Amino acid sequence: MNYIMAVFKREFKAYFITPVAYVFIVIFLVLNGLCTFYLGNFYERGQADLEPFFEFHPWLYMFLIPAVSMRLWSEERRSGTIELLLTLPISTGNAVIGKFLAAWAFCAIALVGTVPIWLTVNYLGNPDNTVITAGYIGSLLMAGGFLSIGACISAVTKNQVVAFVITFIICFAFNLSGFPMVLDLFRPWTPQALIEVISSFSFLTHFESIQRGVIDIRDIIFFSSLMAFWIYINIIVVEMKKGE
Amino acid sequence: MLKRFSQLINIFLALILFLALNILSNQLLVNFRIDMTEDRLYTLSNGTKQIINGIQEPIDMTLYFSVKGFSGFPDLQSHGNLARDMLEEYAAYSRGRLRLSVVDPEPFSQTEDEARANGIRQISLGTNTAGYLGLVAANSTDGKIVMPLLQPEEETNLEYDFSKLLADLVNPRKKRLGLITTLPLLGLPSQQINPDRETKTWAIFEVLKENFEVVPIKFDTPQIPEELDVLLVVHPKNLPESTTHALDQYVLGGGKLIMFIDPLAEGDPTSPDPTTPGVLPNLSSNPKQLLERWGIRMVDKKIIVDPSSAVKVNFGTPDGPRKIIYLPWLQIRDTHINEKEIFTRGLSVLNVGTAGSLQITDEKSNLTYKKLFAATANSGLIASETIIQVGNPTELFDLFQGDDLSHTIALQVSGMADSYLRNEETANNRDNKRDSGQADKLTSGKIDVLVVADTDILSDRFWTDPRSYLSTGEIQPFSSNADFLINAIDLYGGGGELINLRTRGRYSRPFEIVEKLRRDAESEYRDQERELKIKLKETEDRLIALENSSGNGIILSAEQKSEIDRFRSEQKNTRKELRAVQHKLIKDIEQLGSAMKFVNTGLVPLFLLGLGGLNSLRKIYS
Repeated sequence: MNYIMAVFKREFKAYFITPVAYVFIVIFLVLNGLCTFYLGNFYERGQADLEPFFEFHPWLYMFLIPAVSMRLWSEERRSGTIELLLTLPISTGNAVIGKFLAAWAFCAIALVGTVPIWLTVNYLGNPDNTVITAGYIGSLLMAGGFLSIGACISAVTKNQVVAFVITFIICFAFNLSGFPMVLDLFRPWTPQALIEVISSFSFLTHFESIQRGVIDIRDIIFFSSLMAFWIYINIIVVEMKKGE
Repeated sequence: MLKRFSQLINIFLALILFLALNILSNQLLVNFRIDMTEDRLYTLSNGTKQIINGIQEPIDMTLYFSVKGFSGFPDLQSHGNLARDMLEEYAAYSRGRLRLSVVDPEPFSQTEDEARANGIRQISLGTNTAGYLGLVAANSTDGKIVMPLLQPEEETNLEYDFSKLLADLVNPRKKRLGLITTLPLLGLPSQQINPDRETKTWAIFEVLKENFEVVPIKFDTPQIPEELDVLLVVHPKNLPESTTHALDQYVLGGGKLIMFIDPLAEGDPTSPDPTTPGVLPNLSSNPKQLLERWGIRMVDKKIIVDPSSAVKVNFGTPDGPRKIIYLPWLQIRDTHINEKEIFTRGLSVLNVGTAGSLQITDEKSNLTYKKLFAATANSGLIASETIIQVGNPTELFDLFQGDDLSHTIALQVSGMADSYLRNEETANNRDNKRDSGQADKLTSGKIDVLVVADTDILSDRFWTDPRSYLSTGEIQPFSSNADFLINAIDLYGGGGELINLRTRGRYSRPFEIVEKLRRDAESEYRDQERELKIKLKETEDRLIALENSSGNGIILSAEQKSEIDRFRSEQKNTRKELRAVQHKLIKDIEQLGSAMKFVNTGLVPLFLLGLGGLNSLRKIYS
């Protein structure tokens, strides 16, 4: 556990040394603001809730989280510092989890930066704040989900751009897995039961029910198991690529 | 190599575990959730639980849900999931008395035929496929109720719809609602003089018919029929003696009465009597004899006006239609609707028009009064004649005087009351009637009456979109007016479990700051606007006078011409100033919007950039 915290601290601090992190947070906040106010017509709508804010998160994350995750492992592998990391007396698992948590905490910081809109909506009217809290929890979980995918993919390749693109495609698929576009890919060669399962794995449907204000244990299980799964694969991949 | 292989196996196993965990939890863990909404939108309410507890014989519910067909239609699919989840909660709570089966009516299957035979409506999904989302519930006798289509838009009413269905199945008898009215509620012209008047049934009547067995009663009836559960009286104008007596006896006998009276009923189609021009028609109903016995009165011929809760209406001006605050039309909300009383609990918005003020005159010790909703303390009273005669709504502001009273619009009276007939009269009657063999008349009894000093609260335009109702018959409420009436009838008629259900749900949470801005700006600029309008009128009058003074005036003197030009340009300028005033009204709201947009889009990033800049500066100089 201490090892995880050690890795976490190092990684987390490293984010804020470079200007890249600030740039990312700024872009995230600006895009959030623009989407909420212009695409989501938040002000004109006249309703004191954050639906126009949360509805864009799955799509924003789809673009931005691969950008955060792509450098998690690819950079280390390319520059060779991964050797240093893995020869330390910590297990691969600790390293993977530590890195993941640091990245997730970073996303949380970015989310915290959107607090002005929560304050705004409370200033303008009287929203249901517990529903908004649920929305933030759901958003954080979803970010973790995307991130776990991205972290794993970035361990697969040395090339950050490739990591970005592959992660993006997988995130896109998870977003749309309830839509015909994705299901049609599977329809010819998978049984109907499996098709239904695929459509139940959509990030959108799970997030949608959380941001309505209902925390269903099935959604928690979905996101947690998803993160656990990809982190596990991440560990295996890092092990597999040792020495390459 | 072996290691590689075992790692791949591990990956595969992890995938299986992940899939299995989610598939199983999807199927099994149906009711494990926390409802974090303030209004508990997703939890079974107590009313529902009461209804489920009242089920004696088992009821079978079949939900027809085209779960496969709906993939790609996320709103139908999620609504179907919501319906299924909710019904599963009902079934779980019922411990076997409710049996639920969820069926997917696939195209050309037997279940599809079954669905259609039951009347479940087809939803076209394009390319010759159809989906279904409906419910059939049957009890162990022959009772069967079908909900042919569960619409996603009706999401907030879903629990009510399901619970009402169950309640109706358990107790199929509709409450009998007596109806006495002089208004054309039923679409029939009652005192019609103007044949072009709208004669379509009021939407509220459709809602009443749907929920109750409505028994229309003649206006001059000498006696209220026995088998009624609730009596509804709307606009008892010029109540005949016989009816007053009948109502008096009805309530003293324990009959439940809901009465809507009005100092100015805008829905009353009576036109002025052509034989007495200049005399305004009587559009008010105020059964003083009855009210007096109940210790209350409605202030005669006076309307509540309230700048703090008045709504804006479209009003034609020379510069085009504008939204102007109309003082007698009020939107009652929040603290002015009594949350503690069961009649009004959970109602969020009530719209009233030209309402009267109810006052407790004689605090009778045996009667209890419960105020249900009222205007704000900034309200005041204006004579109804003034309201009728005033041309421009803004004039009412000048005539308005607040009296620091929060005028009550609706109240409930219960307890021991006396008959409105004086005792000697009643004694005489009793002797006479005994001689002729008729029953004793009641002189006192335990009453329970709901009085509302407005009838326009029931007219379409105060609670539902009139266009959609007139064209498609669909009712889309935007205020709780109908809910209030149905609640009250349900409460009085028994079936109290349904009360809290109907009014749950997401009415709008508006931007209150913006609404307040609108109101404040309106009152601030109103004065300016009035002055400018007076100036404009003067200018226009002078212009007209000048143009007329030139006699048959085609030829004007040079002086007159220049005068006219001067006045014309003054008129133009004044109009411009007026428009600027109106523009200012909108500007404040827009400015707030822009400020919000900047704060949220630019502020934190700018702050961070600043931080980053400082940081780099620090590094450069260290």
